[in-house]
Amino acid sequence: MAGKAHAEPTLADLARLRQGTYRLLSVLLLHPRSRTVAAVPGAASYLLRRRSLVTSLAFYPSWEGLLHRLTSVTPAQESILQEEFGSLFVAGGPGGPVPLSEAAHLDPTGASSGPLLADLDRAYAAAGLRSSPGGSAPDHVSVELEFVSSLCGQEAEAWSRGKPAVAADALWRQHEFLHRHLCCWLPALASGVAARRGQGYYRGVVQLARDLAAHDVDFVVALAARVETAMSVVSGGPSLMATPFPDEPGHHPGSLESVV
Amino acid sequence: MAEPPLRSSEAPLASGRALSLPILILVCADVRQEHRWLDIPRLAQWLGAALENALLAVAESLCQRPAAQSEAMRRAGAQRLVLGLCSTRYAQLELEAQLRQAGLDPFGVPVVNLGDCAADSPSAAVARAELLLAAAVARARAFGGARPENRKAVLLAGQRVVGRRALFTLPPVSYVAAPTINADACRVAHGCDLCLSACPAAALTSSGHAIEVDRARCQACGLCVAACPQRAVEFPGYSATEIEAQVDALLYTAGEQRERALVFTCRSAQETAPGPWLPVQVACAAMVPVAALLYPLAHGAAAVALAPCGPACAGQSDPLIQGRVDYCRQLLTLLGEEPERVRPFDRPFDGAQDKLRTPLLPPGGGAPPLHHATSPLGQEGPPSPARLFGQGAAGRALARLAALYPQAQGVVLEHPLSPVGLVQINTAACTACGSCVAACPSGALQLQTQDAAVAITFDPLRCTGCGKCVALCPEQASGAIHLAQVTDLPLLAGGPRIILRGEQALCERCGAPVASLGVVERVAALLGEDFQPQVMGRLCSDCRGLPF
Repeated sequence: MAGKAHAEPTLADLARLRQGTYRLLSVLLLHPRSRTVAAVPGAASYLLRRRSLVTSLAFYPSWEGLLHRLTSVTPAQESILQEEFGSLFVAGGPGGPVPLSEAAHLDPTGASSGPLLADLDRAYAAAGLRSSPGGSAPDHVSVELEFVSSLCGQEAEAWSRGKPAVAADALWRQHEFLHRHLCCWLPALASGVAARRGQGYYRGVVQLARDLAAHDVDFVVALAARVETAMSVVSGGPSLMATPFPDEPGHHPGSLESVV
Repeated sequence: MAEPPLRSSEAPLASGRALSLPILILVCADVRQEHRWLDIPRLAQWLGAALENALLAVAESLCQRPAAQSEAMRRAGAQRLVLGLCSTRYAQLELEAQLRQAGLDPFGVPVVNLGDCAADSPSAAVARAELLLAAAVARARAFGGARPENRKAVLLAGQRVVGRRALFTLPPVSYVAAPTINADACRVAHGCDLCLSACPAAALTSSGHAIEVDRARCQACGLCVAACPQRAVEFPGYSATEIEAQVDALLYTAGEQRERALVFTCRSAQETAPGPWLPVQVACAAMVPVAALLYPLAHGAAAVALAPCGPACAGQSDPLIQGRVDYCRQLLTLLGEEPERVRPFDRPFDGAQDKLRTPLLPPGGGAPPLHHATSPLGQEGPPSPARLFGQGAAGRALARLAALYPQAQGVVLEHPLSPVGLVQINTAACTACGSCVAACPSGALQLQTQDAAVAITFDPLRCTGCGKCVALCPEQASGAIHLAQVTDLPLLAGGPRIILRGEQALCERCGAPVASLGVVERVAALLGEDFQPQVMGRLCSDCRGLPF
């Protein structure tokens, strides 16, 4: 029984994998430092070992392609990554740097950045989070990706504890945030990077971020709607939902957050 | 090491061509058991001779156990793939997953149901299979890729959850194509919103400078593709370019099947296309514009049909489909041709098969057989690539048809779904302001100026009858411009013509255009005593602020 439960991909496992992927992308889009560069191959290998969860999903080719590349990153490449990061996102070439913040893409004049940042703060606060003082701006790509990672973590926890309604709430929050923010500007970020660096390291990173966000914005809403339909059946009378819940898959020891 | 399940055809093509070929035609080996008529060596030989850079290979149990093929697909190194399967019953999700793992986009991999190819004789069946595979290759080659935003995830189990365990496990996930808008080609900033009007799900919204697609609402019916005169809608798998490439290949590929008739089938349709009918899959029958019905007839097809959508189709735009078919049939009648060359189908689907099985009619009205008269099947390619969608497509198809029939000289057909319109200007009311020219999304109206002379030209071939020129005319109340939903074949043959001549005021200081005299007079009439002719009518906007 237990063996069978583990053989089937559970939504908790998938949510953890998505949590780890968003978290890894978040770290990769910060200025590369020794500690993070050293941790990247291990994190990528950790995720790759769970690839069977996502082989049927549309973002799999770019997910697998990038993670494979990340497994071979060595500490000696730190300076190369720093150079590429600097030339793309800080100094820029003939076209100028590619901004890593949402406001810079959607509101280049800065005329309406206030409402945008306020909206982000509201979204973070609604999930019980806030931006770290002195950290990156709330609309920085790393902060936004980390927030989605956090919501995936909440979703995974809810699935693991057998609370689908809580999971559905986390799924709706993911959809709302992806729809209102990341999906609106990641295509522009990816285009900007692709235009400046043909086949560079960061091209794969932002491409996966774009693929994942574009995929999940529909995927999570379909999952949430499925849960809500099932829950409404439960509240409406006798249902198959009342049948015993199988063994919970349990937490993965050494989750990505502690690795990266 | 075990032999890979993928192996070259029994009749291998020229040696050394494998592995570097850009397109692979992968046929399920089980087809030989299920359809014994299929002579795979002959098929491979024919495809090798007819198509460049293509390899046919046979894969064991491709329909039911595609997981075994992933490595083989990857090793084949094909950049494009066409699948020849035994029937429509195959492990679709697993196959799509394997394609992704092999680096291929399932949207760009056409599937040919070889079970559809059964015919009266094995020879005819193989000829049909050859044609369908060749057309699928053309479609696959025309695939332009997909953005992440073009894939919409759907849970195949729907909202149904059976048991608590199922709720906590990942249900099967599939993907449907969702349209995106190419902002560079879109003319929304000029007032065009034809895709919004066409969308039956209200999934498109305009911000004035961009069109947004709400994927949650989008039903992926493709009506926006048919509505856009600029071909700005990207719809991978069912794009205008892919459908056009397949149609051209079905009409112009050399082969033993001489009589060719096209049937556009909704992807949800469960019907098969028997006999000489060659299927072209579309997202919904309602996305097939009039031009797509007329083009094949003008290029040698014996007939064209629109198969009904299946019950799963979200489009369900029967009146639109019937209206387009009705227009085509009326036009054919006026041309002295048999209207049955365009065949509609009624719901329910009962009888659709019978209608398709009805023998194709001999040429009627004394007209020569279309495919002998106009299509050099197999001798050369089309005179120019098919244009079934976008501005000018219907006009060109109509013009080509008109050239085939002597009766066309007198054909004028007024119909609410005429794919071309006729713009007329009331010279007494028009001020030649040019608003209609700016509003025209198809470029049918053009403003020409030379010194003080100004003219508006109308190209009936490009007009789609959308009515934007009328809607945005500031003198609409005065009846300055009129659009008739009319197909005037003699007019189409005449090409662009001037529909308004006028004069414009030139700046007395720099010589730049100020405005048409009609506009100056209109402003003067509106302002009355406040009008300052020495400034407003004689100086351009740049020079008005300068001291005299």
